[in-house]
Amino acid sequence: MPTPKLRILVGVLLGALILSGCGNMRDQPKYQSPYDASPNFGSAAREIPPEAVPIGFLYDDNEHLNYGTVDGEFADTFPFVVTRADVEEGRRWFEGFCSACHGYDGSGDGVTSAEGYPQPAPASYHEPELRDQPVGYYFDVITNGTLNEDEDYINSGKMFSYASRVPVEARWQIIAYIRALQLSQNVPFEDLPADMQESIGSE
Amino acid sequence: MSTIENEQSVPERPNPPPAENVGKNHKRFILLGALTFSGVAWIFGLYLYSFIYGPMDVLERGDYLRTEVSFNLIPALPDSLADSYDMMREEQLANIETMGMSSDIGMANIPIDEAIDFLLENDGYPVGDDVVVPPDSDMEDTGDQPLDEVTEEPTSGGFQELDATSEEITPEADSEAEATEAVVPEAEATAESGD
Repeated sequence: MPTPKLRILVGVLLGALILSGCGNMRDQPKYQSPYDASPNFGSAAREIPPEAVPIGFLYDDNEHLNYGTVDGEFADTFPFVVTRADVEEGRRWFEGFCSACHGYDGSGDGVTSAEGYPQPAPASYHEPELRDQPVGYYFDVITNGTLNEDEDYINSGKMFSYASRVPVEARWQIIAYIRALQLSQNVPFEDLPADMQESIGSE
Repeated sequence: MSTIENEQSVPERPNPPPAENVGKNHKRFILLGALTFSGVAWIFGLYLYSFIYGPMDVLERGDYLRTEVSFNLIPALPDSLADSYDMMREEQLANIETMGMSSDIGMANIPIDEAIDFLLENDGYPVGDDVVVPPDSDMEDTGDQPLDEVTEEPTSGGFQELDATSEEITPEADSEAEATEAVVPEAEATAESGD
């Protein structure tokens, strides 16, 4: 049976042990930036090599398909034969990922605009400046977004990259559907078939 | 005689010691209680000082690892606006399903399905020189067939490049292959009958 003095001693030691755990771990020495200089290793994290590619972004050397460019310029052609199924698939992707900001009709009046989306408002695909852009431009915007201030994007500054969400082939399918959207709202009357001209004229 | 001698030789049993700590340990109990209470109070006080008041006095503001994130940049979308969003969606979908003259001179609006057909029939989707085969399309136009009914053949994934040296599958080649397959069973049947 421990004596009262021993009990007090054990209690004090336990109290000291408990008090020793009251330190705040977030106040301990640490590197605020991963690239701060360290006397032992140079930096807390190693510099990313210039040729490093994130996981899932290792494309082959098909520049047209994976980067939307041909010889460094935005491509004005598709890298594969677009079918009706591709356009329908592009519509599905568009309504899932793009319509929230650009609207279902591509006019830039999505629900985010209705709720005070920070300006500038999402771009409308029916503006002449954007309608005249090659398909490679759209691929670049979907892939990289418009947050890069070094690039001269139309209505830039608010769209982030969708490369991690939309695969490469789906981006081209979305572009095919955007082309259909642009045509549906701006098609030359003279280019329409005769029956369609008659139906429009009768209305 | 002998019994009397034996009784005299038995020693007397000593009295038990007096009981301790019975009814006289109040001071010690109060002392232990006070020590325990003060210990708990110290722990609680240090906890409050360390986690609530301590960093404000000890550290500089720039030393915080945790930064407050402002969620005011993106306005919340209340559920009460769901109906208005549905109406907006219906209006926008109606815009791409209507036919009529556009506000621009000489331009017209046509339904989206007509626009897709127009582009497909009039080379609205030009193709570059380095054509690749999408994994699911199989280079065939499915027409107006719904996507659910489009049969998807298992693919190896990824795109397949078509270059000038690769053999293109043509309808003639398909018919020749079918003809070859049709001849082979006849030859096998002939060999079996010969045996």
